[in-house]
Amino acid sequence: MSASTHRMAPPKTLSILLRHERRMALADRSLLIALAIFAAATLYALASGAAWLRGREADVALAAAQSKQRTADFQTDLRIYEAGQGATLGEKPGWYPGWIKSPLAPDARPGLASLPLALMASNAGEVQPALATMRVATSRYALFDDARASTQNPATLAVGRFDLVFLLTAVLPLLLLAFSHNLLSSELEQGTLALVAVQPVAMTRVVLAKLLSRAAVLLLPALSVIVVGLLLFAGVPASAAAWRDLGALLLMIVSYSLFWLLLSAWVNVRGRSSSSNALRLGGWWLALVLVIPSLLNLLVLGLQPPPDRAELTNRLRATVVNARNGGKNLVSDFNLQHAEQPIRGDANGRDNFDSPKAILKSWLVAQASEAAVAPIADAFERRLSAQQRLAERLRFLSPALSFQSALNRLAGADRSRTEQFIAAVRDYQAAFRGYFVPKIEAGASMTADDLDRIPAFVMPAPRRGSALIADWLGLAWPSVLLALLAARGFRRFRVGK
Amino acid sequence: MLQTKALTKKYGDQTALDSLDLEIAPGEIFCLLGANGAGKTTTINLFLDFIEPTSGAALINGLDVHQNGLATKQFVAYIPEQVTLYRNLTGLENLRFFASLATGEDFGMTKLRSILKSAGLPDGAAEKRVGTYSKGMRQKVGIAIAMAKDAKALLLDEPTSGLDPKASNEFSELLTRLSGEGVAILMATHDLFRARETGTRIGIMRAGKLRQTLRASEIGHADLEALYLEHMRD
Ligand SMILES: Nc1ncnc2c1ncn2[C@@H]1O[C@H](COP(=O)(O)OP(=O)(O)OP(=O)(O)O)[C@@H](O)[C@H]1O
Ligand SMILES: [Mg+2]
Repeated sequence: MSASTHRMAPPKTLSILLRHERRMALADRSLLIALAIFAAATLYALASGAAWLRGREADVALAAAQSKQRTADFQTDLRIYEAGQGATLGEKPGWYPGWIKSPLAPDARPGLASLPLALMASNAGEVQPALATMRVATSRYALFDDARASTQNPATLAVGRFDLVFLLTAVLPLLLLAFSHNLLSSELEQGTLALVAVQPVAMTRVVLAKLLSRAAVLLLPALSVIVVGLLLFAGVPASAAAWRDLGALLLMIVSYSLFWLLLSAWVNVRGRSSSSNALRLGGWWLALVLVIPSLLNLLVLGLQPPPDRAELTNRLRATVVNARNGGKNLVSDFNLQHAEQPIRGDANGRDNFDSPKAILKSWLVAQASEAAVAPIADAFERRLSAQQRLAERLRFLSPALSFQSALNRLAGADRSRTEQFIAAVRDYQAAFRGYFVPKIEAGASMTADDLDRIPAFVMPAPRRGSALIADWLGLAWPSVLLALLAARGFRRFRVGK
Repeated sequence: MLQTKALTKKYGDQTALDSLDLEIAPGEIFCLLGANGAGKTTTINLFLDFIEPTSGAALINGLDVHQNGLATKQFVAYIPEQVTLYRNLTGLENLRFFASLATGEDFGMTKLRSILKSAGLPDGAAEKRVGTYSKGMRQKVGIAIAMAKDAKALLLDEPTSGLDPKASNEFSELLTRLSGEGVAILMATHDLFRARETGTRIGIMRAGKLRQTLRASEIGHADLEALYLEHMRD
């Protein structure tokens, strides 16, 4: 008989091998135990992430509600004064205090809108400014000072939280490696591989079946638990975008898992013992998940030292004091330029803190100090951003970093979402000022109706399509490389030495 | 069916197999004798493409094993000293897996059971986990795999060492039956008695070299032992 008549249809061997692998996997009790532990850890991470997120969202909602309430209270009082009934508020008859009419008084608390998957990333989310504090005169560089003061709690920063991003980046690979480090070596050691290798089946196909079955046996339960956990703690996705995020998350997890499985396969190519493979893979895990990220961190710090925020604060303070000292001149200069309608003190000619002139002075001082600090503060922000960008570009050096970056991005806890929020708040501040500043410069008082028309803050949807694809490519290129190396290795693989 | 052409395997400057020329026709049982380290296992591993030859070639059914690893494996079955099967599976499940992998066909359970029976596995053992099997029972599953595969060539590396005399005898009878069906058999062994009883030809190896080949029918047991010892002495 000729060789070709005996050759069998390829898909059939694969399905035979897959059926066999499934039977062997189901007999392995340690798999069930490991999956149960992983499931518990997943649910714990999601539960604690959900609790953290509830806290943050409550802060944002409370701030917005309080701000709204203050505006409503203002409005009520303004209406009473406008009706000439200030006495009912316990004031002297006819008294109409200037501060309540001041366009400097209204405030706004624009907050970060959480993305559907925000609960995954409480670690990265923790250091993100999520709430701004804004009045007309608030410096654009001080909008997030309150948020910063409350989030940079050294205790949480040092310990870190056990969030889903950490679990999937660091712990999931351990689960995958635990059940794939001996992909081939266990059968080599038991001796069963010799009997397999005597059959007319390519070693690449044997390994492929093992990889596919490991992927199925480990990932199907793991992904199910993640999905169930998300449904439980984040709720059913409410929009098409939310479904897309979930799909993207699953794709990232599968791709990241494939990387680790292929790494196992590649390490098995040499035909070394299971314990040797385990050691080597442990080394890879350590390098990719811990060492390389720390080294890159040091490298970034060396190449782009982070600007010092304390120094910035001191320099800003000095500049502001200078600007404030020049306040009187600012008003007279303004009045010179607006000679047709100069702004003066109150009706009695007194220069009270709530007179139109005092209000104008506050605004002009604020504006002047903001302009004075702009070069310093902008330079600070540029350096910070450059540093973060550099760190982001280096993520391609470790699939763990690319994966972490993808997950933080999907959670809306990444640099670009933070910068987007800051930019949106500043745009909003421009609109907010655009509404109130003309009143200040006209020496006008605010009316109750004016408060109805304050512009509202809108948080834009995240823009991250291409960045997510870049993250994914950071995962995919090492996998492709490993797949090629492993395939070549197994084509040459020999059972004997 | 099984052939080597100046087959040589070196490990560094040590020659494990030195320019072996061998030809085993269908129906022949060739018994390879030789001291520990003579190169018997090396020869078999080269036929299985488990190791690469340094020079020369091993051929199965006219195909160079090293060039056509996959194609030659459809003709050959292998029984090592220890047949290692999946301990968590039954004998029947092991046979089912290896037989389907070998042939691409899914044999029915009745067919598989009857193969195990004709390989001599005791009744009832087929459904037990291989972890509970004796060495002889595992060897029989190995034979069953070879039979299911309908292998044209059989490579045996000390298959009867450690088997009790009865099991060893049954094993030899199976080999004789298979050779009667036209299977070419290469068996490495230390059992001079079995070699003379079962083999059609006998080769004596030493230090990687095949020193002498003779017909089993041409020599008595005492003579074979004397000849073997003589080769080992100098
Ligand atoms: N992987 C290896 N590396 C180095 N030398 C090896 C290797 N495998 C075998 N050898 C050497 O090759 C020679 C032949 O070994 P082989 O296993 O073929 O002997 P054998 O005839 O099967 O012996 P035994 O009767 O003990 O099974 C020996 O000297 C052995 O030390
Ligand atoms: Mg040997």
